[in-house]
Amino acid sequence: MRILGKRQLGELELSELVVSVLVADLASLPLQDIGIPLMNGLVSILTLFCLELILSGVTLRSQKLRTVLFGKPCFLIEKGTINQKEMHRCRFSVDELTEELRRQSVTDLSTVEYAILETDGTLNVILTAAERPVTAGQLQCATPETGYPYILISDGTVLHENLRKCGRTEEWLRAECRRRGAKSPEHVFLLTCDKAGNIYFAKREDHP
Amino acid sequence: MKKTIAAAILLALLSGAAAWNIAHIDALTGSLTALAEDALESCRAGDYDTAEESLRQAIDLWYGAESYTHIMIRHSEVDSATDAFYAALETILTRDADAAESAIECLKAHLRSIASMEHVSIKSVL
Repeated sequence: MRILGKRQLGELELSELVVSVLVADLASLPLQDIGIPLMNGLVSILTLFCLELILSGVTLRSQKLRTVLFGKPCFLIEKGTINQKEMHRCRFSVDELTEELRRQSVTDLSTVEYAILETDGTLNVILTAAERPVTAGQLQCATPETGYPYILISDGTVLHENLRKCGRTEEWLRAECRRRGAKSPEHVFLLTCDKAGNIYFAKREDHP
Repeated sequence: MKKTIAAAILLALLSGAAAWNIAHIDALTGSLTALAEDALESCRAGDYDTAEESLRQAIDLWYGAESYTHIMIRHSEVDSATDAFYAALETILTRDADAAESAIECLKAHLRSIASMEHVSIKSVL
């Protein structure tokens, strides 16, 4: 499953879902029936994996094939208007639409500019310009980039690779630990640091 | 791209291995059927010693391919073919020509069934 890619189970495309279910079924057959050679299951699983990898490789390059196999996103609400024809075509009821909107903290349909049903079944909502949260850019406020917060100590273990990526040294880390009341990194549960130098620190609790 | 090419190569290798498997099972069942035919002809001629020798050769060949058969063929099919070999041998040892003919025909049918199972056809797919 790792070969297929780093997608969550709920985000699988139709073909990936079918392959996942088939693989699980094929893998269980030789295990349930000792009369079936393991090779039967292995060969069919490998064939499915290969076909899925080839299919995903080809669809990555062909927009037309991608549309044929996975479909395309459906606009259930377009420019603030519910597209009833599209909802009917997608077999999406009003209850399901309002439920999905509530899940995204939207209770007033008039605030929705677009509601898009993606090919993996998720509903993405774009609010009207007046309802969208104001960003620092819109307010023209200077906001420094803080970068990615690297985990430097995880459950008492120093992550040297992250320390190097963060551009810090172990001496600096030990000094930061001491400054926050921990004798050494072993006494720290979690310590993160970003490029701007913002540190999150959690001391390790003593277990009985 | 690398993953797609690797998958295509693996799929081609699997197809090649499947083709080799079909050729191998055809050759194996072909040799076994030929030995069974020899045994049948010898039975008809009343030469039961030669018939026994041919069938024992076939049994040795069948057991010699045990690793392959147990990895590639359903175990129930392997077991029923083994039973058919010994049923045929039993009729030869009892010198019963009619029973031997029937048992050897049954054995040949088993071998044909094993070979056809591995072939790709509408019948085997559906």
